[in-house]
Parts: sequence; structure tokens; C-alpha cells
Amino acid sequence: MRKLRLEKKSTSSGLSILLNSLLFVALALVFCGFIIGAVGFNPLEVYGKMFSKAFLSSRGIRKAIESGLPLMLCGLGVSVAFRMNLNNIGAEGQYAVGAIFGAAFALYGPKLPGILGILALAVCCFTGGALWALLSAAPKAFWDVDESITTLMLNYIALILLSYLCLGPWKAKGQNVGQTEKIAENLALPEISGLKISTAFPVVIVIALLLFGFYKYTASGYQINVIGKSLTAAKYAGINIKKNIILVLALSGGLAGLAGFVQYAGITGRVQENMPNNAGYTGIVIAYLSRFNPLVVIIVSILFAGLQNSSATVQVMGVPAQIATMMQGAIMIIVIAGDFFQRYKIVSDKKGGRAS
Amino acid sequence: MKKKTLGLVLAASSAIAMCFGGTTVFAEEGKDVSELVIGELHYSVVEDGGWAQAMHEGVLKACENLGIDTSTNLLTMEEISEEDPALIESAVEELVDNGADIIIGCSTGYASILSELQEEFPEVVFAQQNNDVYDNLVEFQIRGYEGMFQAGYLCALMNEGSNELGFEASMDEGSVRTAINAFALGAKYANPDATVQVVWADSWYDLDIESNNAKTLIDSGVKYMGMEASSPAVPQTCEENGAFCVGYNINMQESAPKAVMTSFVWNWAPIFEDIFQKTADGSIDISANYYEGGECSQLAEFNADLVPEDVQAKVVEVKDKIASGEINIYGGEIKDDKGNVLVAEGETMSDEDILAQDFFVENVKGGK
Repeated sequence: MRKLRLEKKSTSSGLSILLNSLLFVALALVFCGFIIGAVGFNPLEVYGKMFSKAFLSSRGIRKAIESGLPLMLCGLGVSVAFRMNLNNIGAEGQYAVGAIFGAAFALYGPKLPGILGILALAVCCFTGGALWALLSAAPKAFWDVDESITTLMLNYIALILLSYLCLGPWKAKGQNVGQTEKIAENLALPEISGLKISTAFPVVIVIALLLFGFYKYTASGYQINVIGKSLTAAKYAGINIKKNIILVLALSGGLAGLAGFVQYAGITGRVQENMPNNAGYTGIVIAYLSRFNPLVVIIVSILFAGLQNSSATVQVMGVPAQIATMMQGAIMIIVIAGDFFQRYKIVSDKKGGRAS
Repeated sequence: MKKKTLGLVLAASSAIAMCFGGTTVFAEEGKDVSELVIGELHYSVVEDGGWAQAMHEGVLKACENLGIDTSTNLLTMEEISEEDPALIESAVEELVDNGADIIIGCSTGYASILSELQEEFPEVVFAQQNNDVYDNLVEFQIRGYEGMFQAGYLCALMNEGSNELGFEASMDEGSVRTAINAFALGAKYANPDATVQVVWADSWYDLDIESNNAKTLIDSGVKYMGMEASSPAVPQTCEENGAFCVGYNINMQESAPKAVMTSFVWNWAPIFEDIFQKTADGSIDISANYYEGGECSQLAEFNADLVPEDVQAKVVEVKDKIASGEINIYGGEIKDDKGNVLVAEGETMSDEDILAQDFFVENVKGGK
């Protein structure tokens, strides 16, 4: 009798991870193709149009980058925590508090000349996100309170706070919309001349590179990896777990807070009632799909944003808006399921083979 | 000298050419209204049973009245988040690529981005649900207080033997306050002692909270209530507990036939018809502002099983009096809930203040 069993793979190369991901994205597209076919459209035509509009036109790429910016920072933030096996589900709320701190600085802060103002704004947003994450980090570090619950719950509080401020004291005059006044000219991030892309993009790339270097070349980065791989080993090696929990969650929250900065100073120019708009949750998926690699996070975020933007393209073809949303969901689930095969292999034991 | 003359001649001829060019283009643009291509942006699906649906039905009705074929000439964009500028931009570009002559932002949150995009697509008319903020958008809004006044009046008439009415409200915001205040003013018009107890959901859409709030009102003895909420939770809770309400956004009678007496319905069609017609013949002023009442701000047909005919007649009478100006809803004297005089006797509140609604009127209880 043949017996099937699972065996953990020892290592996997970057190439095999890439091929695995591509294979499962393709599978997801085939799956969605059936559904698109079922609602009466030619899937190849729909995909062709989505792809050409979203990724083969300069406008499409520009907008994918623009929509992708907050996703990148949430994805980077979540990755930092996940690397250490800390489930930061709170990027959404940290993003919101980052935006709140940013708006508070823009409204009440001192007028600083030139780039100093923008830097101070960024620091405020980072601090906002970091402080919000610390509300979960401290209980985790000192009393081992589950951070997935606390970060998640704090999201709701942050979003209600944001909504209160945008509809209440900070609401722009003469409008029935929950948003603040337009940001002052000197605080807004300019576009790269000629490219019409926000200067936030190169900044985010630099952040990703710094994180990459941090993981690879610094002792702290190494410690995070060790704690993530095995807590016991880390304790045995004398790594200060408490300190790392606090630092890593603060960094993670701060990065998510910066999503509020790029969106506020680089894109919308206003803080809005429902600003994070699920970017914090999408960031979790992006982090996972990127295997917590900061450079891959950038690429995956742009792909995701392009997919999101293409919902407009499919709608003018008559395809329901939900198809684009469904595709995102299908790709997430199928690729994450595919990850299983990345980590494990199915081994079949021949008759009379070694006992399992 | 010669050079100068030549220059003048050139300038004159180019000016003439421009005039002619201008008129030709104009003639081309003045197309038949039935050929108009219309794009609409919604933050949710259009069949949301509330705001988006009312707006979409208005577009459909206007198209129907003008002979616009909605299967080919109406492009509907759903689930376009108001917080995602790149997505809004993508949607607008797609609409323009597909020949849209006019793009309607069906929720206020699109305004600032559409105003920026108008500069990029000057040949397209952008119409936006908003109140007169931008110079390059056709903005439109309904005087919702007219219909809500009738709703409050109806509830107070029905509420014999009691002065207590209820109101289930969503978020504390200008348009919501408008609904509450108008309801309270209408109730007061029927019964000077009528008061309106407000309970807040603090959410634009939440079935559980809306239902609990309605239950709270009913438990405190309220039998008739108004609502500014998007789900059928309030009507259904009323039906289960023997209370009555006036539905909101769309005709909600179907969701609770034993509780919904009528519904406040946004009727956007007349506004859209006018905008479409003017866009087609090229006479649209892109800074125009519509702030319409009358047939736009109306109650759906009465539920004859619940509202006696004499009451129906009285409400219709009030509606006519509003239309004729005999009832001036925001005419003085109006006091706020702290006793301050908002509008003195003989004066009328300005549209600006009506839109801002940073007050609650005297007989509102539980305002913020």
C-alpha cells in the first residue's frame, strides 16, 4: 500500500519561491477565469485589458505606485513584526494614529522652514504609529498578553478617533465631508518632476533598502530572526526578548504610521475619515506573500494596487466590480495555500518502505 | 508700418477663424440628449438599499425621461472608494476613454478629486453631490428638510395622546442634523409640545446598533419614529415591536409593511434631467449649483393600511404649503436646544447656515 505523508523541506531557494508564487498566481487566475466565464465574459479578454491598462501604460504604473505607497509601508511594518513571530494585526490603526499625529502637527505645530517641516511631519506620523503599537507591545512584553488581540482591538479605537476628529473639530469648513483642510504647501511632498510620481516613492524604497540591510547585516536584525525562528534558542542565547518585543513593535507601528504620512503629505493632502481604507489589513497579506522580504513587499504592493485600480477597467467592460475584489481574494488564498507546498513536500512511501 | 498692418490683418483673421472654429465645435458638441454618455461613481454597489440606490434610480429615471439608452450610454462604476484618489482617477479615465460626456460623483467625498481632474479633462462635465464649494463642478444637493418636515409632521399627527417621538440617527454631521431638525420642526408644527428623542448609531451603516437603538426608543415608550439610517433595521425592529416609522433614502415599505407609514425619498431625477439636457445642448454652466426642494424632497406613497386618509390629506396640505411658501420651515422664531434664538421672528435662515446645521432645534432631546 502506498502511503502519502508530509515532510518539511529543509531549505528553499529564492528561485523556487518565485516559481511557486507564480504557479499559484496562475492557478488563481485560472480559477477566476471560470467565474468570469460564468458571468458571461471572455476571461482572456478581461485579463488582457486589465493587465495592459494597469501595468503596460505609464499612467497605469504611476497610479499603481500611488495607490501602492500606503500598502508598501503597512506591508513593511507588518513584516518587521512577523519576522519575530509577533502578529501585528494593527497596521490599520497605527496608520490612522500616524495620520492623526501628522494632522495635529500640520494644524498646531510650529511652522518650520523648508524640508524641516516635512521631516518633522514624518517624525510625528512615525511616532503616532509607534506609540499606538507600544500600547500592545508593553502588555505583551511584561505580561505576555496576546498581541494579535490587542493590536486588532486598538484598530477600532484608532479608526473611531480618526473619524471623530475628521467629522468634528478638524473638519474642513463649508463641506459635508469628513476630512481636514488641505495640507499647507510647504508640508506637501512634491512630485518628481516629469514623472508625476510622488517623491514618497523613492523614500519608501530607501526605507525598504535600510530594512533589508538591517535584517542582513546588523546584530539586532539577526536577533529578530533568531527570536522568530525559535524563542527557546533565542532565550538560551541570552537575547533580551522584552526589549526586542518593544523595539520591534514600535518600529512596526512606526512604519505603518508613515503610511499615514505618505498618504497625507504625498497623495490626498487631507486626512480623511476612513483614511486607512483597509491598507493595514492588505498589508498583512502583502507581507505574507512577500515572505517578509522588504524589497519584495514593494513589488507585491504595486501589483496589488494595480489589481485594485483595474476594477475600474473591468467595470466599463460590464464585468461586476466585485470580480476585481474577488480576484484579489482568490489570489491571496491560493498563493498562501501554495506556500504550504513551499514549506512541505509530499513524500510517498512505497510498500515495504521505511515505517513512518 | 507695413509689417504692423500685416500683423493686424493676421490677428484679425485669426480672431475671425477662432470665432468660426468656435461655433463649429459648438455645433458639434450640441448633440442630441439621447446620445449623451453618462458615467456615475458610487462608493458602494448601487443596490445598497439606501443612498447609492436612490441616486442610481434618479439617474435611471432621468435617462428614461430623456430617451437615453441606459444599456449602452450609462456607465456605472461601483465600489470606488472615496479615500483612494488613484482609483477614482482610474475610474474617471476609463469613463472618459469610453466617451463619457458627463461624470456624476454620487457621494460628497469625490468632490475635491473631481475638481482637480476637471482641469485635466475640461471637455467633460463633472457633476457632484455637494453644496457650492467648487467653481468647476456642477454641484447638486436636495433640500432634504422639506420632506423630513413632512415626516415629522406625519409622526406627530399619528402619535395621539403622547408628545414623545423618536429618531434614529447615524453620524453627527451636517446632513444628519438637517434631517433631525427638520423632523423636529415638522413635529412641532403638528403639536407644539412634541419632542424628539434622538439616539445615535455613530456609524453610517450598522444593522445591530440601528436595531438596538430603535428597541431602546420603543422600550422608553416611543411609538413613532423617524430615521436617518441606511438599513432596514429600524423598520424591521419597529414591526417586531408594534411601533411605526418613516423610512429613509428609498421606499422601505417592502422591508416592513406593518411599520413603514411612508418613506423619505431622495428624488434626484429632476436635477439630473436638467443637467443632462443642458450638457447636451452645450448651455451648462460648470459652476452651477442646484439646491432643490419640492418634488425632489418627497415622501413616498403612504401605506394606506397604517395612515388614515384624513391624515394623508393633512400631510399633502403641508407639502403644498411648503411649495407655495406659506410654510417657511426655517423662518423665525427658531430656538436651539439650549434656548438661544437661532432665527428671530420674521427672519429666515440663510442657505449657508441651513447646510452647516451646527445646532439642534429646541424640541430635540439627546442632540450632541
